[in-house]
Amino acid sequence: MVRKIGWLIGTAALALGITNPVSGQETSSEKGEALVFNPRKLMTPRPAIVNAPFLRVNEVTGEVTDSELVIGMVVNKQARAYPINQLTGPSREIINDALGGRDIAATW
Amino acid sequence: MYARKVGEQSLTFVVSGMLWNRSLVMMDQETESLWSHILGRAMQGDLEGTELESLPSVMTTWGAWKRDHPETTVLNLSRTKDRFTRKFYEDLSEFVYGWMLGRQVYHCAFEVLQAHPVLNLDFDGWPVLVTYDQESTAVQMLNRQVEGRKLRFEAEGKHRMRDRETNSVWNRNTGVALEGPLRGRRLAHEIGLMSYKRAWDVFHPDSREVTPPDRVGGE
Repeated sequence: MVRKIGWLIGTAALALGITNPVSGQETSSEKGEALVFNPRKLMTPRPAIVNAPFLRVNEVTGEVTDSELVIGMVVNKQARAYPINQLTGPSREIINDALGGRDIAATW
Repeated sequence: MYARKVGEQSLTFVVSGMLWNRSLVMMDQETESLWSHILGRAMQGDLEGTELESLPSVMTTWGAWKRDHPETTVLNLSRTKDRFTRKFYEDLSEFVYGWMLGRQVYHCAFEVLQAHPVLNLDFDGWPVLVTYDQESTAVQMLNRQVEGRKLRFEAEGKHRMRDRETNSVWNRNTGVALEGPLRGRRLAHEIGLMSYKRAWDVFHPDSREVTPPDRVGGE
């Protein structure tokens, strides 16, 4: 999902002229139309998030509230929620996790 | 949401610090290949062309999720300052719900989901259901075939639906039958995702819009 923050960083960077286009390569969309891969570099890569801590439902004391949005996943009958609040910001957008015996990337 | 295993190895992904059309570009530590998050595909590097397996997920509220999954765990990194509640969807016209069948991409306007909280769809024999829960804003994509039989559903109450064939009552979010002849059966979750319409149009210019009553399954 494109995050508003990512969009804001993108437009701010454009305004400040600090974009650094990486050499473009062509790839195709579903019908073979060219989609040029020409990402703009805004910052150096962020550290990997691995072994992220989690809580059981009865251990939650305000870390996340009932009305807040989460991304919910069930893998092999194991359920986990990833609060959007915790996934925002460039350092947080990818959580390398393991759920139901599978290695997964929770992304925002 | 993606599986990290590619071939025999599990990749470790980082935020690359790059954006492609304002969309997140991921990088794997193992090969430093660059991946489009929205396409789930490596765009550059040793793994260029590799596609990640998508896993079903849903954006919903914590309250609704723990009600349906009382045994769930929840990520516990520190809080950031912005609160994300259903107000995030203030302007519905900004969002679409999309999915892929073969190489064809489809999407449905969020406003359509609000008006039709249970949408029976049929794509040349692929019988699916898109459900919407107003309270949590959760959208689910489910396969409406059970034991070889295609079911047609109607919304009931806030979180439920009923199939016409057996009159069983189901949880619209978990896809589990709660009452009736099919009690205990589960509908399989398919892959669908919420997206900003703007981003969807950029990355999927050939996406076909689905609006009722077309595509509403008649068997």
